[in-house]
Amino acid sequence: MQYDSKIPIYLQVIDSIKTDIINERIKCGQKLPSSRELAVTYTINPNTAARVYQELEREGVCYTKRGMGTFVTEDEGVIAMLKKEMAEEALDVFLKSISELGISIDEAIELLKQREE
Amino acid sequence: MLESIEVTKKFVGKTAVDGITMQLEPGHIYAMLGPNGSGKTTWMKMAAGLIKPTSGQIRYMGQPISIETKNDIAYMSTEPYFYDWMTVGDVGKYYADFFKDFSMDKYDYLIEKMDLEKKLKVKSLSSGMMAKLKVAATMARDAKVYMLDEPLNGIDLLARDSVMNMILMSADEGKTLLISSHLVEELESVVDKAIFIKNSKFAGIYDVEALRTEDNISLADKYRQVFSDVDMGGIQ
Amino acid sequence: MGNLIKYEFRKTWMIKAIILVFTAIFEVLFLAGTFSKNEDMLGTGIGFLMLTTFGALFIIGVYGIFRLHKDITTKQSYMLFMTPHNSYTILGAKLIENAGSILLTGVFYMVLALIDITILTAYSGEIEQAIAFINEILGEHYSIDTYRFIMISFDMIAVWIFNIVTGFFAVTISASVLNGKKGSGIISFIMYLVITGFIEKLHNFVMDCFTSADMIGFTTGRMVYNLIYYIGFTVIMYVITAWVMDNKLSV
Repeated sequence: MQYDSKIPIYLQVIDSIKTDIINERIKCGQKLPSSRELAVTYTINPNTAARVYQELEREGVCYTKRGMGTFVTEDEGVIAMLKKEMAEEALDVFLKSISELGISIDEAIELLKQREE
Repeated sequence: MLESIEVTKKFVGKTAVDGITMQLEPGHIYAMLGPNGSGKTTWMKMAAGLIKPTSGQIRYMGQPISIETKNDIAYMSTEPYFYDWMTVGDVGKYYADFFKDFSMDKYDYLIEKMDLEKKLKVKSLSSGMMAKLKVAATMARDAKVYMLDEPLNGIDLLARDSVMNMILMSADEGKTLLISSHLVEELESVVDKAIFIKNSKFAGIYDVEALRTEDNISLADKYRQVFSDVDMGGIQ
Repeated sequence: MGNLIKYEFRKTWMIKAIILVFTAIFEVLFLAGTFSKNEDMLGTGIGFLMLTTFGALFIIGVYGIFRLHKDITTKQSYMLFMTPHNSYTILGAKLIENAGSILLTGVFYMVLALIDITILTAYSGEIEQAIAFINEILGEHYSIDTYRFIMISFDMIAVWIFNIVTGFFAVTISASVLNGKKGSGIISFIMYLVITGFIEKLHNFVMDCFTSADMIGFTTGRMVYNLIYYIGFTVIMYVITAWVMDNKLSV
């Protein structure tokens, strides 16, 4: 995976995992790799990997079963929320760029519709 | 775990390491960064017990570096150092003969993962394969401290990925890893601490994620700040 | 220590195997000459066997010095110095392997010579007469029999081993104290010559001071003195060299 070296690595990995969950590349209730395996898979520092799971747990996306590992939540509601949140974030980025170009939201919608066709 | 106290090494007409004081803790992967000739290798060799400081002292678990500390501190040099007559298998046997913490099972596993064959002669290996072999032999030890001097030097992208994977497979809370490099970008995601060595002197130690969260800069940006006086201008 | 010796042997066995092959060829030549009473063949065999004997002792010793040089001046030095062994053990392993090889080689050729002489005398009475004649010329003090031959051989081996360990010292000095300095090779070679020369002079001096009438020629007392003297200085040179390695060598 390519990282933007100016943005904290743990945030980039969290986004990647969340995207995988939303796309169902990772299923609800599925067991996630150990933080050590995660470090190897993503070529990241093991401490960063541990932090990724801490954050995901804090947000309720994952939970730890004692002695069994980390699992994705089975709560579909959480995942729906996740999808909404990430969509909002994408929109934020989009809107910021658009406003920097001096384009109003209406004009932007028009442009989007044109693209659709 | 590994402390360097006012360590200085002078060679004829040249100070290679100048009063370096720092402390390395277990559970971290440290980058040791600095231009070529800044003293990284010399410091590592002193910690490995290969050369003695002119003044100051390096301590491992409170004890000065000695023959005994070589049992716990694994060092890998940049240049290939195996005997010409050896095969990949012989290298494993050699390590097994001399290091109690060496695991032949782990070595076999790493060798296979790296697509190396035991009957290959080390003399015939490409630089990428040699780099992988050196790291495999070193990481197959269950040491407490690993010091890898420029493990990515002169090897292609794919070999770099393999080497990084091997290193990450061996990292855990009880171990200290120190990787020297002048390829800062390659280490961005892997190390969590970075030590800068400038003109033989210690020039700071940084938490790499903290640089990104607090200062919004990458490790490479910090490297430029420390080592060059050139202002990078508008690109932030 | 055992492992270090094992790898020292592994580094040098090839050269020893080659020497053995040559010895076998000349031995066959010698035996063929003896049995067929072909004097040219016999003479060639004896000549080359003697040459191989000295050549073997020389090459094995010098190759040991060459290996040490390589092991402390090239990147291969890590192979030895990264292991949890100190310089005394590392150098000790080299000395034991090299001196052991020289000793075994010496004994091997000594036994071979005795066997060959026995075979030769069995097949030709003239040789026995020739030896008796030579001994008569040499006189009582310097005449040679099997016992004296063995003593003299051990004596020479001890002197040679001392020369090798002094060679170890010289290459260690050139790689450590003189490292990077101009003419370090020449200076260390001169040091080698001076040390071996001085030790020999001292040997003769001590000899002159304590020689009594019954120590003239090839006597047991003299041989034992030689052995003790050279083994003693071999140990001293070993300790000094290992100390230099430990304190002055940067690999």
